[in-house]
Amino acid sequence: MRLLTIIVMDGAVFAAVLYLLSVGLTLVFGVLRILNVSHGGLYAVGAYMATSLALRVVGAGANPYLTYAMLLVGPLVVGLVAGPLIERLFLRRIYAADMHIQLLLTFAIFLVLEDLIKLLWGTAPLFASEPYMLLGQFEVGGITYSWYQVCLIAFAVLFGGVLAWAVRATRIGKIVVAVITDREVSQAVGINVDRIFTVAFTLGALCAALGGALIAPTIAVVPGFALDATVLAFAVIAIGGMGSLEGAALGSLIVGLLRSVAVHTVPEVDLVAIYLAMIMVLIVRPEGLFGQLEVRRI
Amino acid sequence: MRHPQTLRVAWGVGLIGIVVAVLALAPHLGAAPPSGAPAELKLGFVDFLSGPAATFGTPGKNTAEWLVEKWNREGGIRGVKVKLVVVDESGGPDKQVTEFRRLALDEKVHAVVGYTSSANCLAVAPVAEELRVLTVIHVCGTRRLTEERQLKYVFRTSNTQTADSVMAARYILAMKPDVKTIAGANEDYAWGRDSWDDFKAAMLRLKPDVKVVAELWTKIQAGEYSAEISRLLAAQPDVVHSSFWGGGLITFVKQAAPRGLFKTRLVYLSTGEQVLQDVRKEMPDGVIVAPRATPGYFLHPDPATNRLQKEYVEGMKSRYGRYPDYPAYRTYNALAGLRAAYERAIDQGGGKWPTTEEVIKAFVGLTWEGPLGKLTMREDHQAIHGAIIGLTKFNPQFGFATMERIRELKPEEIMPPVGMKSPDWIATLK
Repeated sequence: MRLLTIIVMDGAVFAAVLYLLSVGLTLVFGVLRILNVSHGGLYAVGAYMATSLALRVVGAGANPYLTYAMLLVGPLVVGLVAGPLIERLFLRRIYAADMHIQLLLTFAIFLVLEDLIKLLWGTAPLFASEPYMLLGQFEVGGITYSWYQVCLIAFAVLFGGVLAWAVRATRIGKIVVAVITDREVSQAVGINVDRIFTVAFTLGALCAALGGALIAPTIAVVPGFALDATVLAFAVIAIGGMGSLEGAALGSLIVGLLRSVAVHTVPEVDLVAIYLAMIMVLIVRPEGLFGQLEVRRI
Repeated sequence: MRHPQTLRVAWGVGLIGIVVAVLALAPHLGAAPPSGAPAELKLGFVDFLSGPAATFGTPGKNTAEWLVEKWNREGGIRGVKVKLVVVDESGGPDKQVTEFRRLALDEKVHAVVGYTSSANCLAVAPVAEELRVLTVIHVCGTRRLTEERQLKYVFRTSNTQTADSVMAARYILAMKPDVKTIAGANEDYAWGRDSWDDFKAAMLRLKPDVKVVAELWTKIQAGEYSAEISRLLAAQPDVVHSSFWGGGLITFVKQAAPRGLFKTRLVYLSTGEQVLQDVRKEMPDGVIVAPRATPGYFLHPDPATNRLQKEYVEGMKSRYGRYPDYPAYRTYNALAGLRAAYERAIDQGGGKWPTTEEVIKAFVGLTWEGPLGKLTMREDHQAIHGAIIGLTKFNPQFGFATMERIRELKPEEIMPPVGMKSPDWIATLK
C-alpha cells in the first residue's frame, strides 16, 4: 500500500509536468494542423523569463511571495508577444505547404529561440528556488514531498478543467472546435479562420511558456533543457491522440504512472517503458486513444 | 663641468636601465623562433558551447582563451604564437567526427585539444589516429579510451572515471567504516554506467558485506528526478553514489535537498565541485563532493602559496566573474601539457621545430606543472595525477559551499598501473 501511494504520487507529479507541456502542443496541432517543434523553445523562454523576473524580485529584496506572481507574468509576456509574432510572420506562410516544410520551419524557430536564450541569458545555469522552498514539505508513506509539487498537480488539473470548459461552453471555444472539426466549412459559414489560428497559436504559446515557468523553480534552467521534454511531449500526444485535450491529459497520466512504476520496480526499463507504451497504443489505435481518424476529402 | 665620478655613476645607472629595459621587453620581443617553425601554431579546441553541457564547456573555452592570450603576450611557444580554432562539441559523435576531419583537412590545425563527452572522445580517437593528428583529450572520463586501444596520436591529460569511483570508495569507507547499504542514481550511458560499476565493484571489494539496495538509471540531463528521489528515500541506503553533472546535477540537488535526501546519509557527487558556485546556498553541508579525481580546486592548493594557482584563479575570476572549476583546470593542464611536450621536443631536436611524431615522443614520460601540481604522461598515453575529495560546508566569504575535511589521494591509490584494465585492478584493491 505504501509503495502504491508513493508510485501514484510520483506518477502524478510527473504527469502534471508533462500535461502542462503537452496541452499547448496538442491544441496547436488540433487547430492549425502543424506539428509545432518550436513549442519546446517557447517552453524554455517561458522558464527563463519567469526565473529571471523571480530573481529580480528576490534580488530587490521584495516579498519572496511575489515570485509566484512572476511565474505568471513571465509566461504571459512571452506568450502574448511571441505567439502572434511567430504565427503572423512565419506560420501563416506555410499552412498549405508540405508537412516537411512545416517541421523544418518550426524546428528552425526552435533553434533561433535557443540561440536567443544564450544571447539574452548566457550559458550559466539560472535558478530561483524561492517558489519551490517557500511552501515547505510534507510526508506521505514516510517519503518527504514538497508542497510545490502538489500545487503543480492541482494547477494542472485546474488548468485542464478551465481549458475543457472554455472549449465546450464558451463561444470562442465552440468556434475553435468548429475549426478543428472542419476548416473549410467553418470558413464557409463566416468564421474568421485566420484570426482563430492566431488566437489558438497564441494560446498554445502561452501554455508552453506557462509550463516552462511553473517547472522552472524545480530545475536548473540551462540552454537546451527543453529538447528532451519536448520529445516526451510528442510521445504523450501520440498516445493520447493528436489534437485532443483529453488525450493530452490521459497520455500524461499514462506516461507519468508508467515511469513511476518502472523506477520503483524495474529501474532498468525506465526509459524504454514510455516508448513501449507508445508503440503498443499506436499498433492498436494508430490515431491515439482520443484521436479521430481524418476523413479523406477530395 | 661635471665631476668624472658623477659621470661614471650616471653612465652606470643608464647602462643598468638599458639592461633592465631589454630584459623587461625580451619576452614581448621574443627570441627568434626555432628553425622550421610555422608562422603560428594552430590548435583546434573542442568543447560544449551549446546545450545543457555548455555549463561545462564554457569554463573550458574561457580557460583556453585566457591561457593562449597570456602565452601570446609573453611571446608564444618559443616565439611561435598560438591560434585557437574553437569548435562546439554538441551535436553527437557523428558530427564531431565530421568536425574533426574539417579541423584536420580544411583548417590544417597542428593539434586538437578538447572533448568532454565520453561518447565523443571514443568516436574521434580512431579518426585522429587515421589522420595522424596529435589530439589531447582534456576532460572525457571513460576508461575505455586508453584501456581498450593502442593510441599513438591521442593522449589524455586527466585521470579516468575509475579514479573518481575508487577515490570515493576509499573516502567513504574511511569516514564510515560500518557502511552496510549503497545505492546509485546515474545517467544511462557509458559515463554513468562505468562510474557506478567501478564504484560498486570497489566498495564490494573493500567491504564485501555491503549490499546494493537500488540502482537507478536516468536519461542524460533528465530534469525530473522526483520518482528517483522517492525510490532512494524508500530504499534508505547508507550511501548514495551519483555521477550526474552540469544542469542535471543542479536540478537533482535542488529537488533532493528539500526532500531530505542529504540529511541522514552520505551522498557522493563525483562532479559536485563543478556546481558549487551555481547551487550556492542550496548545497547542503556534509555532502561528499569532488572535482572528479583532480588534484585540487580553486582554494587548494592555497593561491597565496602557489604562483601559477594565484595567477590563474585571479585571472579567471576578474575576467569571467567565476572561479575556475575542474573542467577549467583540466583544460589548463591539457594545454600546458601540450606546450611542455612541444618545448621538450624542441630541446631534444637541438632547437629546431619538431614534427608531430617528435612531439609525441617528447610527450611520453613527460612531467609538467599545472596550477594544482605535477602531472605525468605514461607510455599508454594516459596521464596520472593525484586527487582531492571532501565534504561541503557553506562558506559565507564566497556565498557558496567550499570543501572541508579534504583528503588527498596519490595517483597509485586511484589509478590502475599501465597495462592493467580497471575492473581487473579493482578486483585486487586493498
